[in-house]
Amino acid sequence: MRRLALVLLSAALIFGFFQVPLYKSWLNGRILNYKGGSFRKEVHRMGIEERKKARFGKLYEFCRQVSAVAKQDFPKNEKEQPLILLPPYEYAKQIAPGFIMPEPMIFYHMTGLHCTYPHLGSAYNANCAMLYKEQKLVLLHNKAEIDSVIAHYKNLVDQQSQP
Amino acid sequence: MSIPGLIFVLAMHLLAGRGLLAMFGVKERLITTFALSMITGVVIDALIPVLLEMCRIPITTTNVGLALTITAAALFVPHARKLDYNRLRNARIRMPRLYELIFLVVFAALMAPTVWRCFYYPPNARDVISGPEPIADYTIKEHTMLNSAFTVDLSTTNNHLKPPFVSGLQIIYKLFVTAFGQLWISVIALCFLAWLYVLMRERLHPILAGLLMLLFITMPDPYAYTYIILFDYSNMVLFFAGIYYLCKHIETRDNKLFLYATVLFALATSIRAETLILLVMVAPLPFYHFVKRKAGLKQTVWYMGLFMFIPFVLYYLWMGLFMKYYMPVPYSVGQDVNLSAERMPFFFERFWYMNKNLLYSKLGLDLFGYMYYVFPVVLLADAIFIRKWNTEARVMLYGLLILYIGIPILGTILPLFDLNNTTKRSLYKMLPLMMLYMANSGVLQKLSAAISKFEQGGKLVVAEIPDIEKQ
Repeated sequence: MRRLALVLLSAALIFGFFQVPLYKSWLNGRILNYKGGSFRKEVHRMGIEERKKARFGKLYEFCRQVSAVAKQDFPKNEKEQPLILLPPYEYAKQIAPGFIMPEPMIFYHMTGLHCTYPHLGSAYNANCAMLYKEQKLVLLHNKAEIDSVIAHYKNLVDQQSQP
Repeated sequence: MSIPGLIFVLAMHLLAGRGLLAMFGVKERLITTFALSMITGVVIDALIPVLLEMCRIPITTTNVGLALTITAAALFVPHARKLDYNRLRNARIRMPRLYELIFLVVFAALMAPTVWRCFYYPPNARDVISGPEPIADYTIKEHTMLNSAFTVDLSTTNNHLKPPFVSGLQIIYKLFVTAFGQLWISVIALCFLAWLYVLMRERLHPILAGLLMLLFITMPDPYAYTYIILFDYSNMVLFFAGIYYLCKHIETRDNKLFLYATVLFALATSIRAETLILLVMVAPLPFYHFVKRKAGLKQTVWYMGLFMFIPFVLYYLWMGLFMKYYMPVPYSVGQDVNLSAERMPFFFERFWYMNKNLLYSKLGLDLFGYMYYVFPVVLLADAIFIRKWNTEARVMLYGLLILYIGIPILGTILPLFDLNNTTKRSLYKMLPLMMLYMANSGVLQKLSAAISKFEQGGKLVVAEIPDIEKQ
């Protein structure tokens, strides 16, 4: 009888614990909703690529798009590997709200390609640039061409920031 | 996922960790032996890829497999014949009582999603995918840790300079277990929770132990790091284990336990290098006890020397040797350390904001639940009603004090040690110490005894361990 009382006490304590608003919302958000919702979808989506897309979302999509364009447009006979000049971080707003442009290490992790940004020291080593809106890769041969792409990016960001 | 690969890797962790326990003559219950062996085995094995790299041995499945086997054999075989295998044969697993089983089922239900997430998703913490993860990926492709990941523009990150703990384990698990690695954090988290529960259960009635464990497991932020691979959860586990065995050494005066604690601290340092600074602050505790028990100058100097030297070896392996002589990008520790007196006021600022923003705020509740509120209440209740602390409680309080002051000190001398990320995750180290303090709290032990008395129909019985027979 006493043990039964302790069983009821255990159950009541656990129930009471998860009635505290903080733990209740944690339990619903992290455990119950997950087991009831996301988990069921996940077991039917077991491919490596699907799981990467599910985890990284827009970031992964962006990296794959840039990579596909680069692989298609960058000359195959070039001795050098592409070093892609990407639009500045501020441009991310045009891609999606809350989107953050991948830093070079993350871009390399996702695609196996090198990238750089206008504000980085390696910008003037770039040999191609991604015009994301046009889904086009342009080859860069000298400083003047790199400057013109950087100016183009700056215009895009300025247009974007105008009300 | 490769099940044979997983079994192989787990077996290597177990043998390496068990060998380490045997080397220092640490005798524990079966479940604790298993949990500690796995935890230490994982951290020891994390060093294998970097050691192979330092020997210029290509990092391939065969070489890593051989290195794991040799490490496990080197640690386990010398002690294999001395182990008492009758413990395994005679071990009787008793069913926990129903009131305890309810808690255990809830814990299992809470932890199951983290194991699944570890398996299912690739790592996504920015600190990992901008450093250790690409290094691990390209190590597998190029068979060297000094691979093409270092050819990118590294001016936006310093994560490639972090200790090789995450990258090492990612390499091993990607080679042998799953495409995304990661499952090692589940091994560490589950084994740690099992060990912590045993510790709580040894000291408190299952209902109180269960309730405190529930408070621990459901802390939103640390819970998330049981499936987001980073350095801090594992560092917390090893630091706690070090403090625990330091306490056992103080209680028993067994110097082998002191050395085991030192090795645990060294492993913690291999995960996060700044642990070494915290060890300088921990050192007065064992020093005081060596002096108090009149251990003699020679013995005191020898053991205290080892206490700093062994962790320093693992620190130096990465920071002094690998970074200096192998890393293709230049790095100097000096650039990340600021010891100037001008930084002193920053300590008070960091201490204030750590309390105001991280511990006792809305954000603090979202990060740690009510843990940082429950602990001071229990401590205050002990101070008012009991006014007596056992050795374990005192050591835990000392450890907590070291961290409470030491973490802002780290923020003061390491400019990259920011508040919202590094300091926040460093605070994890206080959590298991609080748990073990509460397990020794006079007030909670009285309550525990009262529940046991009620259960036994009025006869006072100290809480026993019903699930695993004491070995």
